[in-house]
Amino acid sequence: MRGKAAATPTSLSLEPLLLSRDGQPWQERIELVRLTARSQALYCSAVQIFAATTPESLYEAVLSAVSSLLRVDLAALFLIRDKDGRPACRALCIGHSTVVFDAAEAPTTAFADAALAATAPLTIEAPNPLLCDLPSSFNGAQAPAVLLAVPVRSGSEELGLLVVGRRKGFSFSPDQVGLLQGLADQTSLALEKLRVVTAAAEQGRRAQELVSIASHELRTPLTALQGFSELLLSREVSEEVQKSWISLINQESVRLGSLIGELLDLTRLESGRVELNLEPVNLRDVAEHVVSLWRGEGRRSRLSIRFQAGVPCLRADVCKLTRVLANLVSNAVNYSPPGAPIRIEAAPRCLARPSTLHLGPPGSEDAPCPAGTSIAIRDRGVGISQEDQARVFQPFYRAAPLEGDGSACPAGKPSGAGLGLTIARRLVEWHGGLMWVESCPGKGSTFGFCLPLHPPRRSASGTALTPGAIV
Amino acid sequence: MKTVLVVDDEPTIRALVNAILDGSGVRTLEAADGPEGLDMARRYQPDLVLLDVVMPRMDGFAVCQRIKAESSMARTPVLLLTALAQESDHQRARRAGADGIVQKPFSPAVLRATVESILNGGKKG
Repeated sequence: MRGKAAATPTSLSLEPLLLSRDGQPWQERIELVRLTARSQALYCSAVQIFAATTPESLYEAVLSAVSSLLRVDLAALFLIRDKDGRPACRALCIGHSTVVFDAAEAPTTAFADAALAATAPLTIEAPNPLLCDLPSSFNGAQAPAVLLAVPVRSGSEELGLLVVGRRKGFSFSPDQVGLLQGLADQTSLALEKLRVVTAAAEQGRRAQELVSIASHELRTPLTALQGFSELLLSREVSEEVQKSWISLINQESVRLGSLIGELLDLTRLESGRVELNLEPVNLRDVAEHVVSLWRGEGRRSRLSIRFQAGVPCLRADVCKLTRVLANLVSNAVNYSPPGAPIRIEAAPRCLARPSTLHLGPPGSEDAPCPAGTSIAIRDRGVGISQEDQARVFQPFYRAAPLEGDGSACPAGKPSGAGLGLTIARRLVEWHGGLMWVESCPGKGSTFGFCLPLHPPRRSASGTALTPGAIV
Repeated sequence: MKTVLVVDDEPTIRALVNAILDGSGVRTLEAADGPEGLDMARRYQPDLVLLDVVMPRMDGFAVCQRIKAESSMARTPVLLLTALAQESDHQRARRAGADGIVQKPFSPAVLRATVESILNGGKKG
């Protein structure tokens, strides 16, 4: 919470009035002066609003402009919250001080709900019960006698509301409603700008982080390649030793190759250069195909499929969906004892327990389930501790085999670059779905995801729905 | 015979270090993660610890710090073998008390020379 004095130039110059000796009606002249003053004020407010570099400073600039241009007792900015689509008050200006609320504690009001439903400017005057249903900080000493709300929209998308109120006196003129709507439009543009800027910054930060981790991961196989090849060149060793070193060089170069391939895929996903080839997909076909990938290695018996009745045909990118399933199955295989059963389940409803969090884009680890279809891969492997569950989707994160456990991962260390789960999660998000994980150390893990019935439409550039772009 | 403890979660790297030190008259011990490495360091009191940095359960910085904090091992030289390449990582290594850093990928000849100089002259790499 912070306070800030409102400051926007509003004074009218009387000078032009004195010059009106050319026969032009005074009324027209006054109107012209009024319009000029208003455009100047709007221009000044736009400059301030667009200069904001954080959501908080944007809210403050908007309310400061609204309060001084419309001379109101209170002004508030409501934004639609993700949780339930209700408008929540993110900033409130009373007199000259502005209070900014965190997303978690932003209050809602019945008036704002009604105004959002009205989808057009809504005015209420005393006596009206909605006037009393305001956050306590709204009311102060005296409840407002009149409230006006205008929608803040970006295209057809509702972003929120701009609300103004007076404690006494008269209702708002059509002119003032128009002025408030103008400010609401500026607000929506500025919010959009901030959203794009924030998403770009976040994307840059993630790319940087990926480069830094990737360079580390690439150095390990390189160390083996350089080390063993130099030893081969400089030492006389038996043929048997030579062979074992060459086989290690071969193993590490294969690993390096797959690591680079996965890194490129992840980079594409992170930078938004992904095209989904959406088509009707029969999920059972995908599951059976994934099971067949493991058949050649005698592991077929451990993989089973269980589909509940009513699993609908999905609209999805079949290659990418196959990859998601294959990555999750591969993870289950890596973290289970040999032969332990792994089951692919699907249902026309969410398969996660009610207490399980759906992992949203970074920063929102508890997103609402997109409903639709749910797919889960259940294993009876080593399981993941609560602490590690938060990290398994990070690039290159590999959970350690559990304490004192030698049997679960016979190879000692799971294979794979450590990018499988990260890529799976991103691919699910590109389909508008969300990933979740349930696990009990020692008993096994379930990795699941829920997909919406209709994947979201995205812009041609693919940037509109880049995960993580929320102000 | 001097003892060198190699702590790395990558079996290939442990095999490489073993091969590099083979024939230099040292005994090598291996540990696959931080806690195991710490445990073996306490038990076998090696003459040198070669320590990977990024490992599950406990990273190399933490292992190094613990080794340097225990009176029986405080003087044991610790050489970090790391793929982390940033200056901030090197600062962390110094703060953790490491006696030297060998950047991955490394040349076997360089690693062997560094290890021998630490073991023979007490000179720190």
